[in-house]
Amino acid sequence: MAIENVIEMRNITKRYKIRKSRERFTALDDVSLSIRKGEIFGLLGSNGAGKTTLIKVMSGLLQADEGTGETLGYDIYKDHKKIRATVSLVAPTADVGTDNNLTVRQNLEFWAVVYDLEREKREERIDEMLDFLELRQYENHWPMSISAGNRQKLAIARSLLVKNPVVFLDEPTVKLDAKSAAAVRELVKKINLEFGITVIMTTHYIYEAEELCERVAIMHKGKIVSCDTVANLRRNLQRYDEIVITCDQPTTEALNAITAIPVIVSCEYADGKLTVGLENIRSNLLEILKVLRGHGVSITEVATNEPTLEDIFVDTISGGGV
Amino acid sequence: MRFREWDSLKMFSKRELIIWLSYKMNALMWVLDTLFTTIIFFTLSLVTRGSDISFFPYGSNYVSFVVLGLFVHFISYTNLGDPFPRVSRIYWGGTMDLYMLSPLSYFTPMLGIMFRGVIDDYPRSILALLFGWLFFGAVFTFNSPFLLLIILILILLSTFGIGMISASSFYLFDFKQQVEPVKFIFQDVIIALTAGYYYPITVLPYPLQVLGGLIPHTYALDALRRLMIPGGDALTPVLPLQLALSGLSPVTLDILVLAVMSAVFLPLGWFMYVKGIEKARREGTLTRWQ
Repeated sequence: MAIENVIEMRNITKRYKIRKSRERFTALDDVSLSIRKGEIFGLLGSNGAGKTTLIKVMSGLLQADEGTGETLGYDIYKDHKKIRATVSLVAPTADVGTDNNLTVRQNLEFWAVVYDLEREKREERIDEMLDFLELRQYENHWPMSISAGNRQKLAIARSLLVKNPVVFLDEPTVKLDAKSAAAVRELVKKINLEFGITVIMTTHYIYEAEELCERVAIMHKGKIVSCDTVANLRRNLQRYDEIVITCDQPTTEALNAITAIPVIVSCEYADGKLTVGLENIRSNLLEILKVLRGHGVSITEVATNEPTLEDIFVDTISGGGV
Repeated sequence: MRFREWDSLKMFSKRELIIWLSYKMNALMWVLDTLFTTIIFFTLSLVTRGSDISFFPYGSNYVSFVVLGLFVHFISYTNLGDPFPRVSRIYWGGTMDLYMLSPLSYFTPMLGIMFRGVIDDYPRSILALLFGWLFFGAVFTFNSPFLLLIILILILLSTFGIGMISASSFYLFDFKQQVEPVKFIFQDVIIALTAGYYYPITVLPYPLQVLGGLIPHTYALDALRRLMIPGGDALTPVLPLQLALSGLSPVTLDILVLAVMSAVFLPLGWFMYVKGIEKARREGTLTRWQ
């Protein structure tokens, strides 16, 4: 039977020893989480929120103190070796695992053997990855002589050599310039779409999670304070989208017609501007404009104001979540 | 060993060789270093020439005596001293997590990375013999090749066992930023003082001779010198344990002690290393980033 959820964590708690102290630091506090097969899942949170610790527990690199869980159907306590052999990880620093004394291709050849890629498939898969990640022109370059973005691609290429069903990306765009970061984000979408790989990524860049992730868990002080689609997080936090339309004074009938649309939560005209609060701007903007035009209202400008994931993040961690 | 581990070891070896060769001056400096070390001991041997200093039961050729000391020093240095820094390199480089996320055994990455030391030190031991023989008058006999092979294997295994115990202390006892005590006690104290690389340990005070009896080097050197240096005496006991168990021939006793040390140190080292890794997995200290 196919596994619908590739990861199931229930009430996971992890505490770290504090050096030279008897106290322990709670890195994960009663965390429960399900991740579906084939999705891009984001773990969002500030430094120290527990994102990397959670990744390590899910990947079998770290033993939880309490709770239960499975990754790819394997128990995180009993089958951690099997889990470790069937997931991939890209560390936050691309240089981890990259040997600067070997060329880009030699690095991939090394890891292909370490990851036990079948001998006959090694060269073919390395070629495939070099092409897929657009690294072909650098295959004989030293890693230090290529850009940070391309080094990050090399790290991702390494993790994709065996095409494990789950890839963990720990802050994949940290320290990259805007152009390289955009290229890596495109790549994440591509590996998810073309190979059907479940991607679990941590980030503290909110726009990144918003652009890539189907669902997001917001972590704060070792807890998951919210976990849902971005749209649902918005809805749950009552952070409505807003349209500001610069137009003639609408008639009362026009205002009533707009208010009658089910997703509209507020509608107010002042100072030549009609401000409409609604649940989903993208699906309903056209309908509102149609209603106004139908009532002969002349429109000169339309501005939209969607709450970003950043707004939700700030709301969530300050309000304790939903 | 499964093919996977073997393939990986070969790949690690290839990587370490590429890295070693990428430092162009390495090979030249490496040969010169071994040559100068041999010259130093040849020069020291001149001091003993014509004197009545006795190397009994190890013949009378000091160059042969000391070159065999260098031989054992070079091969055991890697096996005993290398595992700890190699584990340290994997930890500080952050790659332990990546190795753990592979089907490899816990030991393969460490063994593979140790190949750098193997490239560096094992051939030195052969070079030391070669330089001593070619240029400085060392003479050797190879009348018991099978016994020599057994002794060589046992000194490699027993010192590697101590090396594994040393490596395990990195995770098991959390000696990450400190002097590693196992290596320090064995290599820098007992071996440096009592291994008898450069002098017969029979010249040491008796308590130090007993201390020397705790390390495999003492028995390996005793057996190799008795068997390989012309004029070596294979029958007269000189080490404290040989004197205590005089019913056994010294070389037989040397081999037995080396076998017992291998049988104890190696499984103990492997067991402790596994325990260290498991402890690190519980505590989240496999690599420096958490």
